[in-house]
Amino acid sequence: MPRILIIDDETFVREALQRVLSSNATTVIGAADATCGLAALGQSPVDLVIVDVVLPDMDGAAAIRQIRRDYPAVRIIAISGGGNIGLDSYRPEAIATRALLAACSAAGAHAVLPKPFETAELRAVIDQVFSTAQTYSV
Amino acid sequence: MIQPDSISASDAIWPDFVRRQAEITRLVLVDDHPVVREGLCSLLSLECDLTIVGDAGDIETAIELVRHHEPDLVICDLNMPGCSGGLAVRKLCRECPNTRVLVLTAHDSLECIRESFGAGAIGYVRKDALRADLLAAVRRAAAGTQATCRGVGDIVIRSWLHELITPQSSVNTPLDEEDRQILRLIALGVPTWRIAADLGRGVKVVEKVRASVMRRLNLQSTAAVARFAVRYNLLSDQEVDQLVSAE
Repeated sequence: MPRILIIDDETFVREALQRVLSSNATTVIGAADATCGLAALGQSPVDLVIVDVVLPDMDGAAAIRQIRRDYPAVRIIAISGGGNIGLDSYRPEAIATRALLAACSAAGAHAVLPKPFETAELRAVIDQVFSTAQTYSV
Repeated sequence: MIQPDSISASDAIWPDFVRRQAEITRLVLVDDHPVVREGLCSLLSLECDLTIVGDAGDIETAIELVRHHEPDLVICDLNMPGCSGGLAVRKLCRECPNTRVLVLTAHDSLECIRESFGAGAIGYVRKDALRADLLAAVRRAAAGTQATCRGVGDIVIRSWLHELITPQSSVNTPLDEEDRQILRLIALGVPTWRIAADLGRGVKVVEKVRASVMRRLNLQSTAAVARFAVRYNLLSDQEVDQLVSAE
């Protein structure tokens, strides 16, 4: 049974992802910051981590580097809407969003996805990261 | 058939034509968010005519890097630790006068735009601009042309039109020499009695001028006067430093 860990400080996003990805065949757990996420990862292994880039305690790129170092088999998808850098809503095409996701690609994320996205897009990216070891760039 | 022997060293079809070497623009990146710096470095490095020669998370390191590398352009955030607003740009432009500075910021208020250009920036791009807009602005700014992203020009024009129809609210309200002197001293935190003594005027007169100028310019506090004085170059560089260190 695949296990997915969502690390995102936006409760709405975390809960929505848990809701749409949970099924009889998939267990989804959530964490509101990198520290909790890494602790959860240490307690029980997961197959996939979906991690927001701007987190309250650590940036997503740093968290990704740590996960890749300590849990090399875990697949990682980075998600971002531009971050808490003064932008008042998601800007998927903004240079800030692209830069944050590029940093995550460089840190070792297997795929990146700008917020907002549809469930079908997320499912397609999940299928891709499970079916190939290829790293996707922005 | 053309014989190879017939081709001499000066047989170019256009003898005076000299192909220009591809010019590489050397950049320094300044932003206090490491993940933003890392990502921007990744994105900009994809461009064959751009190269990042250094990046910094604070203005002092940035100045050292710029002195060492002498880049064509510095891409600089506005809010740096201990150096916010246009002060980061002002410091860079003052310490490294041959370097052009392009502001890349999440802020898009007219005040920030005005402060940045007033401090010596050659361009202003918002962080929510498209990647193509940033690249275009980088190339224009590096070539010495003022550059902004979409939206910044609209803000400036809207403000200009607003000032045209409400001239009494304009910061362009004429200031005479005494007004400027008093504003400068208020900005530096000099008490009214001392201003009066320095200018050889009565305390009541200075209080009246002070209230009048602040009302005309819609400045509500000493801090607002200080910002105005920095923005409109009423202070010397040493006085700006004095203000910054007092913050």
